[in-house]
Amino acid sequence: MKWVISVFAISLGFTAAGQTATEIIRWADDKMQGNSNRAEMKMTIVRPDWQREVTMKAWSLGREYSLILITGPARDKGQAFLKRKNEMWNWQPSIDRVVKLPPSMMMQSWMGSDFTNDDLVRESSVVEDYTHERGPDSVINNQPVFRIILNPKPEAPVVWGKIVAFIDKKEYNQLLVRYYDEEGVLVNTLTLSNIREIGGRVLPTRLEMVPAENPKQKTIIDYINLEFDIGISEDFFSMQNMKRVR
Amino acid sequence: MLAILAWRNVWRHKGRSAVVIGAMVVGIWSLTFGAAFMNSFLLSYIETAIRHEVSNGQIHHPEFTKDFDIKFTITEPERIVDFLKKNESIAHVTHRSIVNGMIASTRQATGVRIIGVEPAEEARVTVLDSLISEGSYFEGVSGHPVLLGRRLSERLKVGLKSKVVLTFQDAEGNITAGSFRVAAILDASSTTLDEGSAFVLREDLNRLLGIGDAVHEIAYTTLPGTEDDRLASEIQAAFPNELVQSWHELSPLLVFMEQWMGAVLQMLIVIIMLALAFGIVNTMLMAVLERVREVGVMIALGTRRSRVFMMIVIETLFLSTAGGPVGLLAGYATISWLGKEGIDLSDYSEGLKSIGYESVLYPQLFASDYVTIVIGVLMTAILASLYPAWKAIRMQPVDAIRGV
Amino acid sequence: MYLTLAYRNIWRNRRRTLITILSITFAVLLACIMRSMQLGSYDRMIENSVRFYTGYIQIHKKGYWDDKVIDNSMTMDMAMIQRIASVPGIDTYVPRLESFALASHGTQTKGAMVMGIDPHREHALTLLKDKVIDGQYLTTNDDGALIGQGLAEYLKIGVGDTLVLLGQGYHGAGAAGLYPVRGILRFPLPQQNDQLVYLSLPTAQWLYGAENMVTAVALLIDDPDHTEQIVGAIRSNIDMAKYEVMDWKELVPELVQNIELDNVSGRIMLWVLYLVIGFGMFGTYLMMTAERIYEFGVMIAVGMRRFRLQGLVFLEILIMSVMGVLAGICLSLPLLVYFHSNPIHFPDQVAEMVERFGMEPVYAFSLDPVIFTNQAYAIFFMAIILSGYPIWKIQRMKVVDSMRL
Repeated sequence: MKWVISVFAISLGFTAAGQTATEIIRWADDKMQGNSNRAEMKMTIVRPDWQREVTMKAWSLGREYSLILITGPARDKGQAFLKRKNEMWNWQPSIDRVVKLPPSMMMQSWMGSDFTNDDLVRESSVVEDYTHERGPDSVINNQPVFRIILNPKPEAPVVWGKIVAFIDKKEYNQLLVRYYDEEGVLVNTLTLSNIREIGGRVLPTRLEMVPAENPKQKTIIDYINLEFDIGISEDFFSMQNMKRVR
Repeated sequence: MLAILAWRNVWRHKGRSAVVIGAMVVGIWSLTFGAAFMNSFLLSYIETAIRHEVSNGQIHHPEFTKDFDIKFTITEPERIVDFLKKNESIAHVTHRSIVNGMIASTRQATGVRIIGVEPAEEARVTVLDSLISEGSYFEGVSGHPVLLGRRLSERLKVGLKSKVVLTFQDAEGNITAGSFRVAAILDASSTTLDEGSAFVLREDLNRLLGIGDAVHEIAYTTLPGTEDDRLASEIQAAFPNELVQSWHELSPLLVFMEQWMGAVLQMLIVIIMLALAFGIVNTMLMAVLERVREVGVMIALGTRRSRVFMMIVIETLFLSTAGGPVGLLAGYATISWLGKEGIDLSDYSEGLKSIGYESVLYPQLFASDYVTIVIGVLMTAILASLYPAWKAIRMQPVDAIRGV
Repeated sequence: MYLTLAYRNIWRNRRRTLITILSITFAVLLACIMRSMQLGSYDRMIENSVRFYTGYIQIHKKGYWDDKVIDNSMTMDMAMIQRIASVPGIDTYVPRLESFALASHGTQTKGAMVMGIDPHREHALTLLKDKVIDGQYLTTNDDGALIGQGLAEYLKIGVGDTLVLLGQGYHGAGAAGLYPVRGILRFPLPQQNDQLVYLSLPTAQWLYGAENMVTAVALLIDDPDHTEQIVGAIRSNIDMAKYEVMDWKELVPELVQNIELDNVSGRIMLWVLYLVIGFGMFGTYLMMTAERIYEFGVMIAVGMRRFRLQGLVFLEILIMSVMGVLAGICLSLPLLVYFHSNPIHFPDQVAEMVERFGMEPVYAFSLDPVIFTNQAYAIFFMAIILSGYPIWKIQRMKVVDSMRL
């Protein structure tokens, strides 16, 4: 899930030309952190022999608080995940129980997707954990793009050897992000498309993550609705609200 | 008088005496070797099985092993370690921090037990360094080293010097993560080590956990011949607030295997003993039958049958006492030599080589075992002489003298 | 001609011949008992281990064993199962759906392995019912749970209480449910005792959203020695691109290692036995030769060629060895059959430990025909080799000395 956040962090930025790579990313990131938002989205998990769609509503406040309510499929409807700072709870209406997810659970993939629960709560920061540099500009879909290369700082707890992000020069949207390991082998590709106006901004609304070694398997997120600065506080992210929110 | 006669008899038939003495020597030698081999086999089985994992004993906070909650640390670990180091039955001691968490590479993330070790101590206790197939022991990488089993490294698709991220909850319950580099890949036959463990430096783990110098586990090895259960209860008595467990409690399956193998091996010794007894009976029987004429003459001349009987038994006793020490010496020499050189079982089995079993056995036998064997063989020999002696005196002198 | 002579010769001194034959007979008998006991104990080890858990053979979706996640489960295809079950030698099939879940009660939560089982079939393989120490065993469509004693203690849960299970189902579906505890199970292994939760198969399938799916089908077969043929038969009967068939050697490699190790030590002990036996036989031969040296001398003196005499003696030994070995087999067969069905009990102290693991504390004896043939060959070979002594003695002896006596 962190890449979803990172993508927003980067794509929300529109700044003067001639900025350094770090400034672009820091600015976008800071802006994202300061905001609350509400999203309605559909996650599609594609595997060679099956496919699954999960619809959900998500509220977030900065990086520290988030609440996700599953709205479909029917079997999982009403299930909610609450993240407060570094802890995560799960609400299961079918058994009327709130369970705090212990470490052993954190390693499981989240709702069967390419994310783990851990991805939802870990705060690896594209600003703090990486150094940034501009690469040669490029063109994607006839749009001129910046090429920004992110290299992890030595002590940073990130697995990647290098991340390369392509950001279009006009809207400052990320269009393509490539994740490499330390040998320089491409591991994952994130493609962003369906750019339209949503929540008052022009943003890509489809995110598609494809592992390079297994192109038949991917996770797609489509944003159906998105609102920014919705004026919620920390109180919204309570255990009571997790059970109540619709 | 009877003894002198028996003594002379022994010397009159040197060949025959040599055969009986030979049978005794081989018998005693076989039994000493068999028993010593059995001892070393069981010991080595246990030792190999506990060496890399449970050690001879472990100490935890009583609640810790239930769910590996990192807040259950050992109080006063230094005092316990000092206490253990002073105990003369204990060979080596090490202490560890442990947390369950997740290990992630660029390709894969999976659950793992993260064990923070003190490399030098750990090498003495679990011989962790001996499992290394590639790389070096907590060395040779820039950054924090981590050691992984082969299967885990394959699952994560990482090699030497690759970066992995370990994630777990710290003392405050916060999710925390650290990046580590693979310093070595371990070849372990145990699944736990092979796919479920990551070894890091204790200082690295403790820093990330934010638990200062706290310790979750103390493990110790003992010298050969130590009664691990008794030792564990001694330590338990000294530190009633912690939980002290010997490998018997930590690994009941192993106890089961030991008992099982021991029972079977004991039975094998019994069979060998039977074979030995039978060999002696046969040889003695032959020896007596060869002498029918002589015995017949003695009885015809009026020697009482009971005296003839005694004479044969005493002869056997002479032969046995001659054979006993020689056999014992031969056995002792063999065992002492093998005890130093070791028997490499993998020479006898390709299979063992392929599973990487460390299979050099060092046979050993205690003084009490020697005594048991000597008494056992003497009894066997005497019992074995009774039947032939009885057979001899049952013969009719006339038939005997006529020849068979 | 020589044969008749040799045959007549050996019966001239009946007592001596009987002793020689007896020493060979006894050697075969002891060697057979020893090997039979060793192999029997391996069979028991295998059986035990297999009965703990895995079964002799398991069938999974291809890739499950390497990555044991519920997404690698397979549809319980009854046509396929019938095809497998019809392979001769298979007693019963035992379907299982196994996955991880969080088990929770009150404020306590702990990770657990959840096993969806067919209660009757499972009992046929692992004797699970006997492990219930409190409450009841599951019924076929039970909506309750059985829980390992250690886990129950941790969760502070008892029979009748409600257990919460929470995890992830098939293809990422949510898995959550409430289950009344029907019974508490005690396992000898802590890993099982502290981790296992059993549900009936339909209940577990519902929990994990894996309708009609299983992660493994374990097979109970009538004779472990036929494992290979049965695995072969199954493989040719199902689509190997979709499934994997594994025997106990692959399922429990540690067991194979243990047996291999024990077998090496067993073979060394067998060699020690051979040595003792060999020496016993040698003693008999030695005595026999010494006794007959006068006779040999006479025969050479009256003009018999040494090599003919040697041949004659060799033939005698050959005849005696054949008789001894045959007698040995004839004796050991009924004896081992007896021990096989009336095994000898372990010493009490060991017995207790073994019983805790749900095993009969007895020395098991194998009736594998290989034992008899191998041991018979070994002893026969030894008897023939040892005949070298009298032959050598005849070659070396001085006729005059031998007749002086």
